[in-house]
Amino acid sequence: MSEIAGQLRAQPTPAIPRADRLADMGRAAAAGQEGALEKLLRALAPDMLRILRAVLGPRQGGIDELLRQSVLVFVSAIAQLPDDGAVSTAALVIAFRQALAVRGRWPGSGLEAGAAAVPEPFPELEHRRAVIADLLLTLPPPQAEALGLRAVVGLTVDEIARATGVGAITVRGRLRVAKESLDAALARDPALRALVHLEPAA
Amino acid sequence: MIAARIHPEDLIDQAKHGALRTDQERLLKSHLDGCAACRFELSLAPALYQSIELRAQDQAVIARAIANVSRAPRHDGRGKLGRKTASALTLLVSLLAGVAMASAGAYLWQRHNAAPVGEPASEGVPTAPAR
Repeated sequence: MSEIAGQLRAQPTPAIPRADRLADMGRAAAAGQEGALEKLLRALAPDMLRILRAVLGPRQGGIDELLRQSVLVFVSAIAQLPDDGAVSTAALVIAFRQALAVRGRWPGSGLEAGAAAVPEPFPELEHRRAVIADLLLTLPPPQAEALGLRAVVGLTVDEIARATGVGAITVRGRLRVAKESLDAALARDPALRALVHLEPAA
Repeated sequence: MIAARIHPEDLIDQAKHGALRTDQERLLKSHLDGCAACRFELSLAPALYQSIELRAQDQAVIARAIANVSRAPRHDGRGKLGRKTASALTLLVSLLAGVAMASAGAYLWQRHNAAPVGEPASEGVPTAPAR
């Protein structure tokens, strides 16, 4: 566990210059500059697709259409986004909400034909992803959204508060309830606890 | 009664950005010792989506989504119009202005050629025979 904290402390913060670049691209796209929107979408769409796959799983069908919808929603919202460099966060939140809405409608369905036989290249990651994705399906929507924006999208409490239009205290309350469910899910899954070294230090 | 557990979300955020002071790190560690949910969250840091590998065919999925948007009409909420739309609107406004001017001219011509005011309009009105 101290290894986790140590690794985190040692992490560089390469996201900041990228966020600045994306904010500039967002301003240019909102101003209607030639080619700016396409450039912005080329930068953001891969992460939007990662969000969809993180929530829906690697073999969920219909991702093509879902990404197209997510991109369209983002484009229609771009002129209304605050000029605070949050263009990337907005795109990720839109993709997450699209995925969450679909996950409620297609629980466990929509798999590509024959895809279940393909071995997963990263079973540990897939195991962790599935724990979160299952919780998103079983938690009440406000808690599911808070947990997903935290664990899948990686937003801070304040960012979640801004994205969901509620106060930071409400977000903390929703996360607390969601983490109780996460705790229970982990307790039922000793393989996962061992897999990611979740057992408490002796 | 068991007190609700408080999760140090702010410390976790700072840990994700590598900005923990030594005392904060100690506090976070003591929480993590008893909280599997927060340990799990940190194991996903900075975010689960960043660990998701895209497949070779995903580049085509992305290209299709972007191409679709560049073909779709844009609604950017700032009243910007396409060149064709602006031309069509200009033509329509010119046409309406022409129709309005023609109507006004016709009305003035009709008034100019109408009977003078005050002339008796006796035609067609029945009158009683004089005795």
